[in-house]
Amino acid sequence: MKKLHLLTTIELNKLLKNRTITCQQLLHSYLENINKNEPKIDAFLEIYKENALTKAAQIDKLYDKGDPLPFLAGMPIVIKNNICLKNKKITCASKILENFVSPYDATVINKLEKNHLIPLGATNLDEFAMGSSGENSAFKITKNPWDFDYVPGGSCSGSAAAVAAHFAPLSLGSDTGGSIRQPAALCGIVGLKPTYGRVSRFGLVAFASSLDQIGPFAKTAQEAAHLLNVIAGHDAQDATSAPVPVPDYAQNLGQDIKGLKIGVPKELFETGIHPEVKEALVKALELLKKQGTSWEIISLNTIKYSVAIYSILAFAEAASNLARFDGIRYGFSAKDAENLDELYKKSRGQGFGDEVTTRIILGTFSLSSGYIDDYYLKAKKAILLMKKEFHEALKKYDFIVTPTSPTPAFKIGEKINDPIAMYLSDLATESANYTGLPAVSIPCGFTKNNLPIGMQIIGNHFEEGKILNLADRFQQLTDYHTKMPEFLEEN
Amino acid sequence: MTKPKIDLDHICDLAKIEIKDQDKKKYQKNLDAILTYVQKLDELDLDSIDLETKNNSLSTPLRIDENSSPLKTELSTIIKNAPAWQDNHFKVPGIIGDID
Repeated sequence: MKKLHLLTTIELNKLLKNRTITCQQLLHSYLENINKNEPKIDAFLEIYKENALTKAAQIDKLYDKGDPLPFLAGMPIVIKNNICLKNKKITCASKILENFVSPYDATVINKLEKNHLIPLGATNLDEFAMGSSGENSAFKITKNPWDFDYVPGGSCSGSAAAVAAHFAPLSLGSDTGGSIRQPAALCGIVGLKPTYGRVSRFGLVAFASSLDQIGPFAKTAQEAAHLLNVIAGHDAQDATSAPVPVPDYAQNLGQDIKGLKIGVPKELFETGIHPEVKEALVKALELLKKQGTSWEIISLNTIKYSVAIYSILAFAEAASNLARFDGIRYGFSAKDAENLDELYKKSRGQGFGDEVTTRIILGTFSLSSGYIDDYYLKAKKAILLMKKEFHEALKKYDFIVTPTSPTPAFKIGEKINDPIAMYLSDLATESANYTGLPAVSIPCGFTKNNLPIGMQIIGNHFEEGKILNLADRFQQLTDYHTKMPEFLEEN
Repeated sequence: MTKPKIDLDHICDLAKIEIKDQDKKKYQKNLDAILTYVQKLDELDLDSIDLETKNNSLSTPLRIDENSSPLKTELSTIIKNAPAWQDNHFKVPGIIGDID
Protein backbone atom coordinates (compact mmCIF):
# COMPACT_ATOMS: atom_id res chain seq x y z
CA MET A 1 0.00 0.00 0.00
CA LYS A 2 1.07 3.59 -0.70
CA LYS A 3 2.30 5.56 2.29
CA LEU A 4 -0.71 6.87 4.19
CA HIS A 5 0.24 10.54 3.81
CA LEU A 6 0.10 10.15 0.06
CA LEU A 7 -3.57 9.09 0.04
CA THR A 8 -6.59 11.38 -0.31
CA THR A 9 -9.02 11.96 2.54
CA ILE A 10 -11.61 10.10 0.47
CA GLU A 11 -9.41 6.96 0.53
CA LEU A 12 -8.38 7.57 4.14
CA ASN A 13 -11.99 7.88 5.28
CA LYS A 14 -12.69 4.33 4.11
CA LEU A 15 -9.57 2.94 5.76
CA LEU A 16 -10.33 4.68 9.05
CA LYS A 17 -13.96 3.61 9.01
CA ASN A 18 -13.22 -0.04 8.41
CA ARG A 19 -10.34 0.19 10.91
CA THR A 20 -7.69 -0.95 8.43
CA ILE A 21 -5.74 1.97 9.86
CA THR A 22 -5.99 4.11 13.00
CA CYS A 23 -5.91 7.89 13.30
CA GLN A 24 -2.67 7.50 15.22
CA GLN A 25 -1.03 5.55 12.40
CA LEU A 26 -2.20 8.15 9.94
CA LEU A 27 -0.87 10.97 12.08
CA HIS A 28 2.49 9.24 12.45
CA SER A 29 2.75 8.94 8.71
CA TYR A 30 2.32 12.71 8.33
CA LEU A 31 4.69 13.42 11.22
CA GLU A 32 7.35 11.21 9.66
CA ASN A 33 7.04 13.09 6.38
CA ILE A 34 7.18 16.43 8.21
CA ASN A 35 10.21 15.30 10.17
CA LYS A 36 12.05 14.37 7.03
CA ASN A 37 11.03 17.18 4.71
CA GLU A 38 9.96 20.24 6.69
CA PRO A 39 13.55 21.56 6.87
CA LYS A 40 13.47 21.84 3.07
CA ILE A 41 10.09 23.61 2.92
CA ASP A 42 9.72 25.67 6.13
CA ALA A 43 5.93 25.57 5.99
CA PHE A 44 5.34 25.62 9.75
CA LEU A 45 5.66 28.18 12.50
CA GLU A 46 4.68 25.59 15.09
CA ILE A 47 3.79 21.90 15.10
CA TYR A 48 1.21 20.76 17.65
CA LYS A 49 2.60 17.25 17.89
CA GLU A 50 1.56 16.35 21.44
CA ASN A 51 -1.93 17.83 21.18
CA ALA A 52 -2.42 16.09 17.86
CA LEU A 53 -1.33 12.70 19.21
CA THR A 54 -3.71 13.00 22.18
CA LYS A 55 -6.54 14.00 19.91
CA ALA A 56 -5.83 11.15 17.47
CA ALA A 57 -6.01 8.64 20.32
CA GLN A 58 -9.37 10.09 21.41
CA ILE A 59 -10.81 9.88 17.90
CA ASP A 60 -9.56 6.31 17.54
CA LYS A 61 -11.67 5.42 20.56
CA LEU A 62 -14.72 6.93 18.89
CA TYR A 63 -14.05 4.98 15.69
CA ASP A 64 -13.54 1.78 17.72
CA LYS A 65 -16.92 2.26 19.37
CA GLY A 66 -18.44 2.25 15.91
CA ASP A 67 -20.25 5.56 16.36
CA PRO A 68 -21.09 7.31 13.09
CA LEU A 69 -18.52 10.07 12.73
CA PRO A 70 -18.30 13.10 10.45
CA PHE A 71 -16.54 12.43 7.13
CA LEU A 72 -13.30 14.19 8.00
CA ALA A 73 -13.00 12.78 11.54
CA GLY A 74 -9.39 11.91 12.29
CA MET A 75 -7.89 13.93 9.43
CA PRO A 76 -4.97 16.20 10.32
CA ILE A 77 -5.34 19.82 9.24
CA VAL A 78 -2.90 22.72 9.35
CA ILE A 79 -3.93 26.28 9.97
CA LYS A 80 -2.69 29.65 8.79
CA ASN A 81 -1.27 31.42 11.79
CA ASN A 82 -3.70 34.33 11.63
CA ILE A 83 -6.64 32.16 12.75
CA CYS A 84 -6.99 31.95 16.52
CA LEU A 85 -6.52 28.70 18.45
CA LYS A 86 -6.98 28.95 22.18
CA ASN A 87 -3.73 28.89 24.17
CA LYS A 88 -1.60 28.79 21.02
CA LYS A 89 0.70 31.46 19.68
CA ILE A 90 -0.99 33.47 16.93
CA THR A 91 1.81 35.51 15.46
CA CYS A 92 0.51 36.47 12.00
CA ALA A 93 4.22 35.94 11.14
CA SER A 94 4.88 39.34 12.69
CA LYS A 95 7.34 40.41 15.34
CA ILE A 96 4.61 42.54 16.84
CA LEU A 97 2.67 39.39 17.79
CA GLU A 98 5.65 37.08 18.29
CA ASN A 99 4.60 36.11 21.80
CA PHE A 100 0.84 36.61 21.60
CA VAL A 101 -1.20 33.68 22.92
CA SER A 102 -4.81 33.53 21.80
CA PRO A 103 -7.35 33.54 24.63
CA TYR A 104 -10.04 31.95 22.46
CA ASP A 105 -10.80 29.74 19.45
CA ALA A 106 -11.99 31.09 16.12
CA THR A 107 -15.42 29.83 15.04
CA VAL A 108 -13.83 27.73 12.28
CA ILE A 109 -11.60 26.06 14.87
CA ASN A 110 -14.67 25.15 16.96
CA LYS A 111 -16.18 23.66 13.84
CA LEU A 112 -13.06 21.59 13.13
CA GLU A 113 -13.19 20.40 16.71
CA LYS A 114 -16.84 19.42 16.44
CA ASN A 115 -16.06 17.43 13.30
CA HIS A 116 -13.09 15.72 14.98
CA LEU A 117 -10.39 17.06 12.70
CA ILE A 118 -6.91 17.25 14.20
CA PRO A 119 -5.10 20.61 14.18
CA LEU A 120 -1.53 19.60 13.43
CA GLY A 121 0.26 22.89 13.17
CA ALA A 122 0.36 26.61 12.49
CA THR A 123 1.51 27.54 9.01
CA ASN A 124 3.69 30.39 7.85
CA LEU A 125 2.33 33.41 5.99
CA ASP A 126 3.26 36.83 4.71
CA GLU A 127 3.14 39.12 7.74
CA PHE A 128 -0.52 39.89 8.52
CA ALA A 129 -1.44 38.12 5.26
CA MET A 130 0.12 40.93 3.23
CA GLY A 131 2.08 39.59 0.30
CA SER A 132 2.03 37.31 -2.72
CA SER A 133 5.19 35.28 -2.21
CA GLY A 134 5.50 34.35 1.47
CA GLU A 135 8.70 36.39 1.66
CA ASN A 136 7.18 38.95 4.04
CA SER A 137 7.09 36.55 7.00
CA ALA A 138 9.17 37.92 9.86
CA PHE A 139 10.35 34.42 10.75
CA LYS A 140 11.14 32.29 7.71
CA ILE A 141 10.60 31.96 3.98
CA THR A 142 8.52 28.98 2.91
CA LYS A 143 9.76 27.27 -0.24
CA ASN A 144 7.72 25.93 -3.12
CA PRO A 145 7.63 22.11 -2.81
CA TRP A 146 7.99 21.81 -6.60
CA ASP A 147 11.27 23.72 -6.64
CA PHE A 148 12.88 25.02 -3.48
CA ASP A 149 14.35 28.06 -5.28
CA TYR A 150 10.84 29.31 -6.01
CA VAL A 151 8.17 31.00 -3.89
CA PRO A 152 5.05 29.07 -2.93
CA GLY A 153 2.93 32.21 -3.39
CA GLY A 154 1.19 34.13 -0.65
CA SER A 155 -0.01 35.12 1.64
CA CYS A 156 -0.95 31.52 2.63
CA SER A 157 2.58 30.33 1.82
CA GLY A 158 2.72 27.66 4.52
CA SER A 159 -0.84 26.39 4.19
CA ALA A 160 -0.44 25.82 0.44
CA ALA A 161 3.08 24.38 0.64
CA ALA A 162 2.10 22.03 3.49
CA VAL A 163 -0.70 20.44 1.48
CA ALA A 164 1.44 20.24 -1.68
CA ALA A 165 4.21 18.58 0.39
CA HIS A 166 1.72 16.10 1.92
CA PHE A 167 2.38 17.39 5.46
CA ALA A 168 -1.39 17.37 5.91
CA PRO A 169 -4.24 16.56 3.55
CA LEU A 170 -6.08 19.79 4.32
CA SER A 171 -5.44 23.30 5.48
CA LEU A 172 -7.22 26.55 6.22
CA GLY A 173 -6.21 29.95 4.94
CA SER A 174 -7.60 33.43 4.49
CA ASP A 175 -8.04 35.31 1.22
CA THR A 176 -8.18 39.11 0.92
CA GLY A 177 -7.00 39.53 -2.67
CA GLY A 178 -6.00 36.02 -3.71
CA SER A 179 -4.11 34.72 -0.68
CA ILE A 180 -5.70 31.28 -0.91
CA ARG A 181 -6.05 30.93 -4.68
CA GLN A 182 -2.68 32.27 -5.86
CA PRO A 183 -0.52 30.01 -3.63
CA ALA A 184 -2.86 27.09 -4.44
CA ALA A 185 -2.09 27.72 -8.13
CA LEU A 186 1.65 28.08 -7.56
CA CYS A 187 1.76 24.89 -5.46
CA GLY A 188 -0.48 22.78 -7.72
CA ILE A 189 -3.40 22.25 -5.32
CA VAL A 190 -7.02 23.35 -4.87
CA GLY A 191 -7.79 26.57 -2.98
CA LEU A 192 -11.26 28.02 -2.50
CA LYS A 193 -12.30 31.50 -1.50
CA PRO A 194 -15.95 31.16 -0.51
CA THR A 195 -18.58 33.87 -0.99
CA TYR A 196 -18.15 36.82 1.38
CA GLY A 197 -20.26 35.83 4.37
CA ARG A 198 -20.21 32.07 3.72
CA VAL A 199 -17.66 31.32 6.45
CA SER A 200 -17.41 33.09 9.81
CA ARG A 201 -14.33 35.26 10.29
CA PHE A 202 -14.72 35.38 14.06
CA GLY A 203 -11.20 34.76 15.32
CA LEU A 204 -9.46 35.64 12.08
CA VAL A 205 -7.02 38.50 12.61
CA ALA A 206 -8.50 41.27 10.43
CA PHE A 207 -6.60 42.71 7.48
CA ALA A 208 -9.24 44.27 5.16
CA SER A 209 -12.63 43.49 6.63
CA SER A 210 -14.70 44.10 3.50
CA LEU A 211 -12.59 41.55 1.62
CA ASP A 212 -11.23 38.91 4.06
CA GLN A 213 -12.64 35.40 3.84
CA ILE A 214 -11.51 32.07 5.31
CA GLY A 215 -11.36 29.09 2.97
CA PRO A 216 -10.03 25.56 2.46
CA PHE A 217 -6.99 24.08 0.72
CA ALA A 218 -7.00 20.46 -0.46
CA LYS A 219 -5.66 18.40 -3.30
CA THR A 220 -9.04 17.86 -4.92
CA ALA A 221 -12.27 19.81 -5.30
CA GLN A 222 -14.06 16.91 -3.65
CA GLU A 223 -11.96 17.20 -0.51
CA ALA A 224 -12.33 21.00 -0.51
CA ALA A 225 -16.11 20.45 -0.67
CA HIS A 226 -15.95 18.23 2.42
CA LEU A 227 -13.95 20.84 4.32
CA LEU A 228 -16.31 23.61 3.21
CA ASN A 229 -19.18 21.53 4.63
CA VAL A 230 -17.41 21.71 7.98
CA ILE A 231 -16.59 25.44 8.09
CA ALA A 232 -19.52 27.10 6.25
CA GLY A 233 -22.53 28.65 7.93
CA HIS A 234 -23.94 31.60 9.78
CA ASP A 235 -22.31 32.69 13.01
CA ALA A 236 -23.94 35.17 15.36
CA GLN A 237 -20.46 36.30 16.38
CA ASP A 238 -19.65 37.56 12.89
CA ALA A 239 -22.25 40.10 11.76
CA THR A 240 -21.01 39.77 8.18
CA SER A 241 -21.64 36.02 8.04
CA ALA A 242 -24.73 35.25 6.00
CA PRO A 243 -27.82 33.42 7.26
CA VAL A 244 -27.95 31.39 4.04
CA PRO A 245 -28.57 27.63 4.26
CA VAL A 246 -25.51 25.43 3.72
CA PRO A 247 -26.02 22.64 1.18
CA ASP A 248 -23.99 19.42 1.27
CA TYR A 249 -21.26 20.50 -1.11
CA ALA A 250 -19.65 17.08 -1.34
CA GLN A 251 -22.93 15.23 -1.89
CA ASN A 252 -23.91 17.60 -4.69
CA LEU A 253 -20.85 16.91 -6.84
CA GLY A 254 -21.23 14.87 -9.99
CA GLN A 255 -23.86 17.09 -11.64
CA ASP A 256 -23.99 17.30 -15.40
CA ILE A 257 -22.00 20.21 -16.83
CA LYS A 258 -23.49 20.06 -20.35
CA GLY A 259 -24.72 23.40 -21.61
CA LEU A 260 -22.89 25.48 -19.00
CA LYS A 261 -21.41 28.71 -20.32
CA ILE A 262 -18.02 30.14 -19.47
CA GLY A 263 -16.87 33.72 -20.03
CA VAL A 264 -13.15 34.46 -20.20
CA PRO A 265 -12.23 38.15 -19.71
CA LYS A 266 -9.99 39.40 -22.50
CA GLU A 267 -8.49 42.18 -20.39
CA LEU A 268 -6.30 39.77 -18.47
CA PHE A 269 -4.66 38.64 -21.67
CA GLU A 270 -3.82 42.22 -22.58
CA THR A 271 -1.73 42.66 -19.45
CA GLY A 272 0.97 40.07 -19.97
CA ILE A 273 0.05 36.50 -19.17
CA HIS A 274 2.92 34.00 -19.26
CA PRO A 275 2.61 32.05 -22.55
CA GLU A 276 2.64 28.65 -20.83
CA VAL A 277 -0.14 29.77 -18.47
CA LYS A 278 -2.24 30.96 -21.41
CA GLU A 279 -1.63 27.71 -23.28
CA ALA A 280 -2.64 25.59 -20.28
CA LEU A 281 -5.80 27.61 -19.73
CA VAL A 282 -6.95 27.36 -23.35
CA LYS A 283 -6.25 23.62 -23.28
CA ALA A 284 -8.34 23.28 -20.11
CA LEU A 285 -11.21 25.28 -21.60
CA GLU A 286 -11.15 23.12 -24.72
CA LEU A 287 -11.26 19.99 -22.59
CA LEU A 288 -14.32 21.31 -20.77
CA LYS A 289 -15.85 22.19 -24.14
CA LYS A 290 -15.62 18.55 -25.16
CA GLN A 291 -17.81 17.80 -22.15
CA GLY A 292 -20.55 20.01 -23.52
CA THR A 293 -19.71 23.39 -22.01
CA SER A 294 -19.00 26.43 -24.15
CA TRP A 295 -16.58 29.30 -23.65
CA GLU A 296 -16.07 32.67 -25.18
CA ILE A 297 -14.00 35.76 -24.69
CA ILE A 298 -15.85 38.53 -22.88
CA SER A 299 -15.00 41.99 -21.62
CA LEU A 300 -14.73 42.89 -17.95
CA ASN A 301 -12.99 46.22 -18.29
CA THR A 302 -12.64 47.00 -14.59
CA ILE A 303 -10.58 43.87 -13.92
CA LYS A 304 -7.55 45.78 -15.27
CA TYR A 305 -7.85 48.17 -12.34
CA SER A 306 -7.89 45.50 -9.65
CA VAL A 307 -4.40 46.18 -8.33
CA ALA A 308 -4.92 49.96 -8.30
CA ILE A 309 -8.14 49.51 -6.32
CA TYR A 310 -6.42 47.09 -3.94
CA SER A 311 -3.54 49.46 -3.27
CA ILE A 312 -6.02 52.03 -2.05
CA LEU A 313 -8.90 50.12 -0.50
CA ALA A 314 -7.19 47.12 1.09
CA PHE A 315 -4.41 49.31 2.42
CA ALA A 316 -6.87 51.83 3.89
CA GLU A 317 -8.72 49.05 5.69
CA ALA A 318 -5.41 47.59 6.85
CA ALA A 319 -4.29 50.94 8.24
CA SER A 320 -7.53 51.10 10.20
CA ASN A 321 -7.53 47.48 11.39
CA LEU A 322 -3.88 47.47 12.41
CA ALA A 323 -4.33 50.57 14.54
CA ARG A 324 -5.17 48.17 17.37
CA PHE A 325 -1.53 47.10 17.67
CA ASP A 326 -0.47 49.79 20.06
CA GLY A 327 2.09 48.13 22.34
CA ILE A 328 -0.22 48.41 25.35
CA ARG A 329 -2.68 45.56 25.65
CA TYR A 330 -0.79 42.79 23.90
CA GLY A 331 2.03 42.25 21.46
CA PHE A 332 5.44 43.83 21.18
CA SER A 333 6.01 46.95 23.25
CA ALA A 334 9.04 49.20 22.80
CA LYS A 335 11.07 49.51 25.94
CA ASP A 336 12.61 52.92 25.35
CA ALA A 337 9.46 55.05 25.05
CA GLU A 338 9.27 58.12 27.24
CA ASN A 339 5.62 58.97 26.67
CA LEU A 340 2.49 57.36 25.29
CA ASP A 341 2.83 58.77 21.79
CA GLU A 342 6.37 57.47 21.58
CA LEU A 343 5.24 54.08 22.86
CA TYR A 344 2.77 53.77 19.97
CA LYS A 345 5.20 54.95 17.35
CA LYS A 346 8.22 52.96 18.49
CA SER A 347 6.27 49.74 19.17
CA ARG A 348 4.66 49.87 15.75
CA GLY A 349 7.82 51.01 14.00
CA GLN A 350 9.90 48.22 15.49
CA GLY A 351 7.15 45.59 15.44
CA PHE A 352 5.86 45.80 11.86
CA GLY A 353 7.89 44.68 8.84
CA ASP A 354 8.48 46.72 5.68
CA GLU A 355 5.46 45.64 3.63
CA VAL A 356 3.00 46.10 6.48
CA THR A 357 4.48 49.53 7.23
CA THR A 358 4.24 50.53 3.56
CA ARG A 359 0.57 49.54 3.49
CA ILE A 360 -0.23 51.33 6.73
CA ILE A 361 1.39 54.52 5.43
CA LEU A 362 -0.34 54.40 2.06
CA GLY A 363 -3.67 53.46 3.63
CA THR A 364 -3.42 56.32 6.10
CA PHE A 365 -2.58 58.65 3.22
CA SER A 366 -5.64 57.51 1.18
CA LEU A 367 -7.90 58.25 4.13
CA SER A 368 -6.28 61.53 5.09
CA SER A 369 -7.86 64.94 4.76
CA GLY A 370 -7.53 66.33 1.24
CA TYR A 371 -6.95 62.94 -0.40
CA ILE A 372 -9.89 60.75 0.64
CA ASP A 373 -12.09 61.83 -2.31
CA ASP A 374 -9.39 61.27 -4.88
CA TYR A 375 -8.23 57.94 -3.54
CA TYR A 376 -10.43 56.00 -1.12
CA LEU A 377 -13.80 57.13 -2.47
CA LYS A 378 -12.65 56.72 -6.07
CA ALA A 379 -11.63 53.12 -5.33
CA LYS A 380 -15.04 52.50 -3.72
CA LYS A 381 -16.74 53.82 -6.87
CA ALA A 382 -14.57 51.62 -9.08
CA ILE A 383 -15.73 48.63 -7.05
CA LEU A 384 -19.39 49.51 -7.64
CA LEU A 385 -18.67 49.66 -11.37
CA MET A 386 -16.91 46.30 -11.18
CA LYS A 387 -19.82 44.72 -9.30
CA LYS A 388 -22.18 45.87 -12.04
CA GLU A 389 -19.94 44.39 -14.76
CA PHE A 390 -19.63 41.04 -13.00
CA HIS A 391 -23.36 40.96 -12.23
CA GLU A 392 -24.16 41.48 -15.92
CA ALA A 393 -21.59 38.88 -17.00
CA LEU A 394 -22.94 36.26 -14.59
CA LYS A 395 -26.43 36.75 -15.98
CA LYS A 396 -25.14 35.49 -19.33
CA TYR A 397 -22.49 33.03 -18.18
CA ASP A 398 -22.44 30.39 -15.45
CA PHE A 399 -18.76 30.97 -14.73
CA ILE A 400 -15.99 33.44 -15.29
CA VAL A 401 -12.73 31.57 -15.83
CA THR A 402 -9.26 33.10 -15.68
CA PRO A 403 -5.71 32.03 -15.07
CA THR A 404 -5.35 32.21 -11.27
CA SER A 405 -1.95 33.86 -11.48
CA PRO A 406 -0.53 35.60 -14.57
CA THR A 407 2.69 33.63 -14.10
CA PRO A 408 3.81 30.35 -12.57
CA ALA A 409 5.88 30.51 -9.36
CA PHE A 410 8.75 33.00 -9.52
CA LYS A 411 12.16 32.80 -7.87
CA ILE A 412 12.66 33.76 -4.24
CA GLY A 413 13.93 37.35 -4.27
CA GLU A 414 12.85 37.99 -7.86
CA LYS A 415 10.11 40.51 -7.14
CA ILE A 416 10.78 41.55 -3.57
CA ASN A 417 12.13 45.01 -4.51
CA ASP A 418 9.45 45.79 -7.07
CA PRO A 419 6.13 46.27 -5.26
CA ILE A 420 4.04 46.70 -8.42
CA ALA A 421 5.41 43.54 -10.06
CA MET A 422 4.62 41.69 -6.82
CA TYR A 423 1.10 43.15 -6.51
CA LEU A 424 0.33 42.19 -10.12
CA SER A 425 0.52 38.52 -9.06
CA ASP A 426 -3.02 39.04 -7.75
CA LEU A 427 -4.42 40.81 -10.80
CA ALA A 428 -6.82 37.98 -11.67
CA THR A 429 -7.91 37.09 -8.15
CA GLU A 430 -8.75 40.42 -6.46
CA SER A 431 -12.01 41.03 -8.34
CA ALA A 432 -13.65 38.09 -6.54
CA ASN A 433 -12.90 39.81 -3.23
CA TYR A 434 -14.35 43.16 -4.33
CA THR A 435 -17.49 41.51 -5.68
CA GLY A 436 -17.75 38.97 -2.83
CA LEU A 437 -18.05 36.15 -5.38
CA PRO A 438 -16.81 32.61 -4.66
CA ALA A 439 -13.78 31.47 -6.65
CA VAL A 440 -11.69 28.33 -6.73
CA SER A 441 -8.24 27.67 -8.14
CA ILE A 442 -7.47 24.19 -9.47
CA PRO A 443 -4.36 22.76 -11.12
CA CYS A 444 -4.63 22.86 -14.92
CA GLY A 445 -1.12 22.10 -16.12
CA PHE A 446 2.62 22.35 -15.63
CA THR A 447 5.31 24.46 -17.23
CA LYS A 448 8.27 22.89 -19.03
CA ASN A 449 10.18 23.45 -15.77
CA ASN A 450 7.62 21.36 -13.91
CA LEU A 451 5.99 24.25 -12.05
CA PRO A 452 2.22 24.03 -11.53
CA ILE A 453 -0.30 26.26 -13.30
CA GLY A 454 -3.71 27.13 -11.85
CA MET A 455 -7.09 27.94 -13.36
CA GLN A 456 -9.58 30.13 -11.49
CA ILE A 457 -13.32 29.48 -11.69
CA ILE A 458 -15.54 32.29 -10.40
CA GLY A 459 -19.26 31.70 -9.84
CA ASN A 460 -22.27 33.57 -8.56
CA HIS A 461 -22.83 34.38 -4.89
CA PHE A 462 -23.29 31.26 -2.73
CA GLU A 463 -22.76 28.99 -5.74
CA GLU A 464 -19.69 27.29 -4.30
CA GLY A 465 -21.37 23.98 -5.15
CA LYS A 466 -21.52 24.86 -8.81
CA ILE A 467 -17.87 25.95 -9.14
CA LEU A 468 -16.70 22.94 -7.13
CA ASN A 469 -18.77 20.69 -9.39
CA LEU A 470 -17.03 22.07 -12.50
CA ALA A 471 -13.67 21.79 -10.74
CA ASP A 472 -14.40 18.21 -9.70
CA ARG A 473 -15.43 17.27 -13.22
CA PHE A 474 -12.22 18.77 -14.59
CA GLN A 475 -10.17 16.79 -12.09
CA GLN A 476 -11.88 13.57 -13.13
CA LEU A 477 -10.70 14.24 -16.68
CA THR A 478 -7.15 15.23 -15.77
CA ASP A 479 -4.34 13.99 -13.54
CA TYR A 480 -2.52 17.23 -12.65
CA HIS A 481 -3.73 16.97 -9.05
CA THR A 482 -2.26 13.48 -8.69
CA LYS A 483 1.29 14.57 -9.54
CA MET A 484 3.74 14.86 -6.69
CA PRO A 485 6.79 17.04 -6.10
CA GLU A 486 10.00 15.17 -6.86
CA PHE A 487 11.28 14.95 -3.29
CA LEU A 488 8.22 12.94 -2.27
CA GLU A 489 8.82 10.38 -4.96
CA GLU A 490 12.37 9.93 -3.75
CA ASN A 491 11.48 8.92 -0.21
CA MET B 1 -6.28 62.75 -9.40
CA THR B 2 -3.04 64.65 -9.44
CA LYS B 3 -0.18 62.68 -8.04
CA PRO B 4 1.05 64.27 -4.84
CA LYS B 5 4.30 63.53 -3.10
CA ILE B 6 3.56 61.85 0.20
CA ASP B 7 4.74 63.88 3.17
CA LEU B 8 6.23 60.87 4.88
CA ASP B 9 6.80 62.47 8.28
CA HIS B 10 3.25 63.82 8.45
CA ILE B 11 1.60 60.54 7.42
CA CYS B 12 3.80 58.51 9.79
CA ASP B 13 2.70 60.86 12.53
CA LEU B 14 -0.96 60.27 11.65
CA ALA B 15 -0.37 56.50 11.47
CA LYS B 16 1.54 56.53 14.77
CA ILE B 17 4.47 54.70 13.28
CA GLU B 18 8.14 55.55 13.45
CA ILE B 19 10.43 54.70 10.58
CA LYS B 20 14.18 54.95 10.70
CA ASP B 21 15.85 57.85 8.89
CA GLN B 22 17.94 55.48 6.80
CA ASP B 23 14.77 53.69 5.59
CA LYS B 24 12.89 56.82 4.53
CA LYS B 25 14.33 56.90 1.01
CA LYS B 26 13.29 53.30 0.40
CA TYR B 27 9.72 53.91 1.65
CA GLN B 28 9.42 57.12 -0.35
CA LYS B 29 10.53 55.28 -3.51
CA ASN B 30 8.05 52.43 -3.07
CA LEU B 31 5.19 54.73 -2.10
CA ASP B 32 5.85 56.92 -5.15
CA ALA B 33 5.85 53.86 -7.40
CA ILE B 34 2.51 52.67 -5.99
CA LEU B 35 0.94 56.14 -6.13
CA THR B 36 2.02 56.50 -9.76
CA TYR B 37 0.45 53.14 -10.53
CA VAL B 38 -2.91 53.91 -8.89
CA GLN B 39 -3.33 56.98 -11.12
CA LYS B 40 -4.60 54.37 -13.60
CA LEU B 41 -7.99 54.73 -11.94
CA ASP B 42 -8.36 58.08 -13.70
CA GLU B 43 -9.00 56.15 -16.92
CA LEU B 44 -12.36 54.99 -15.51
CA ASP B 45 -15.42 57.17 -15.87
CA LEU B 46 -16.74 57.18 -12.33
CA ASP B 47 -18.71 60.43 -12.38
CA SER B 48 -22.07 58.71 -12.68
CA ILE B 49 -21.41 56.30 -9.82
CA ASP B 50 -23.26 57.27 -6.68
CA LEU B 51 -21.86 55.78 -3.50
CA GLU B 52 -25.06 56.65 -1.67
CA THR B 53 -27.25 54.39 -3.83
CA LYS B 54 -28.99 51.94 -1.57
CA ASN B 55 -28.46 48.26 -2.22
CA ASN B 56 -31.83 46.76 -1.40
CA SER B 57 -30.52 43.21 -1.21
CA LEU B 58 -28.44 44.03 1.83
CA SER B 59 -29.42 45.18 5.25
CA THR B 60 -27.56 45.57 8.48
CA PRO B 61 -28.14 42.48 10.58
CA LEU B 62 -29.08 43.15 14.16
CA ARG B 63 -28.81 40.48 16.78
CA ILE B 64 -31.24 40.12 19.63
CA ASP B 65 -30.32 42.45 22.46
CA GLU B 66 -29.37 39.76 24.89
CA ASN B 67 -26.39 39.65 27.13
CA SER B 68 -24.42 36.74 25.82
CA SER B 69 -20.77 36.63 26.63
CA PRO B 70 -19.29 34.15 24.20
CA LEU B 71 -15.77 35.01 25.22
CA LYS B 72 -15.12 33.59 28.62
CA THR B 73 -11.63 34.95 28.63
CA GLU B 74 -9.78 34.50 31.83
CA LEU B 75 -7.97 37.45 33.29
CA SER B 76 -4.80 35.38 33.54
CA THR B 77 -4.61 35.13 29.71
CA ILE B 78 -5.07 38.88 29.39
CA ILE B 79 -2.32 39.48 31.92
CA LYS B 80 -0.05 37.00 30.18
CA ASN B 81 -0.36 38.95 26.95
CA ALA B 82 0.00 42.39 28.53
CA PRO B 83 3.45 43.98 28.05
CA ALA B 84 3.10 45.81 31.40
CA TRP B 85 0.49 45.14 34.07
CA GLN B 86 0.13 46.69 37.47
CA ASP B 87 -2.68 46.69 40.07
CA ASN B 88 -5.17 45.20 37.61
CA HIS B 89 -4.42 47.81 34.97
CA PHE B 90 -2.35 48.04 31.81
CA LYS B 91 0.65 50.16 32.61
CA VAL B 92 1.69 52.88 30.14
CA PRO B 93 4.27 55.67 30.19
CA GLY B 94 3.12 59.18 31.10
CA ILE B 95 0.57 60.63 28.75
CA ILE B 96 1.36 64.30 29.19
CA GLY B 97 5.08 63.96 29.77
CA ASP B 98 7.25 65.51 32.42
CA ILE B 99 5.92 68.63 34.04
CA ASP B 100 8.68 70.83 35.39
